[in-house]
Amino acid sequence: MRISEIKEKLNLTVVNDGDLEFENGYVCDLLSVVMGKIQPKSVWLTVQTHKNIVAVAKMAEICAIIICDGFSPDEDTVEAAKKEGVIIFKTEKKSFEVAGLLYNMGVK
Amino acid sequence: MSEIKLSFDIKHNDFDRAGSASSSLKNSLKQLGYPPEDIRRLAIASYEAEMNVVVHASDGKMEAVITPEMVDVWVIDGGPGIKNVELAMQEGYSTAPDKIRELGFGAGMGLPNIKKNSDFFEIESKVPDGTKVHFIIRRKSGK
Ligand SMILES: Nc1ncnc2c1ncn2[C@@H]1O[C@H](COP(=O)(O)OP(=O)(O)OP(=O)(O)O)[C@@H](O)[C@H]1O
Ligand SMILES: [Mg+2]
Repeated sequence: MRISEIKEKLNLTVVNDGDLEFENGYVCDLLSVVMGKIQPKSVWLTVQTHKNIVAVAKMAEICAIIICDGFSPDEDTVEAAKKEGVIIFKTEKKSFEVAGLLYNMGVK
Repeated sequence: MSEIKLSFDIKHNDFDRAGSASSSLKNSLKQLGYPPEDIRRLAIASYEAEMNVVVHASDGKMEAVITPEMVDVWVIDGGPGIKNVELAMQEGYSTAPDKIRELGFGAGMGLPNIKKNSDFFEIESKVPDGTKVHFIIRRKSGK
């Protein structure tokens, strides 16, 4: 599935845009649990907003970060994402809801 | 390519630059044409080791030796060291302060992640001198 497809269907707000092919999803706010368990080619749902999420995404080859529950990324997070080319969206929807919607679209 | 040696400084408590050593190392491997799966294992292991210096230790460094067959990485800091290494290696054990937990660190999964993602792992620590984490990523495929 394409990142652009979920951006549109879930009406996500763009923080740093981009489009990639991805396969899986993962929800967690503890960074090293994410690093240890997220599969390659995943989207990552979190409420963390600080700059280190960009580093985590880059290190673990995460396709896109969706910041849920109405949280907004810090300013330097946005800067880092632009510099590193990490796709970030945000949404008012709860992580649980976003995960459910993605799951119903076939993302596992 | 015969052997490439790299060295990066790691600054304690500098969350702004945190991850830059691992990121540089990862880019070097990419340029050298290492397979993506190996690069990912290397990136995760080195990031965890680097963050442990940023979060728990003092200033330190990351040193890497890259050959066509493997990447050897040492992450070394100047203290305070780990009292009980066996305990520190357990999944879920963490002494991270609350302020840092709020940022999502402190799951107690960093050291286990390094072990899981590497082909060789050893940790040496002495209170109060410091900690040395050494791991190897062997190139699995695509030579
Ligand atoms: N370089 C280091 N210097 C001093 N203590 C360390 C160092 N690395 C690890 N530790 C100790 O070992 C514990 C476990 O480390 P580990 O990386 O597994 O988890 P963590 O850093 O606490 O949390 P996480 O990595 O999941 O964010 C740490 O909480 C800390 O007490
Ligand atoms: Mg750690």
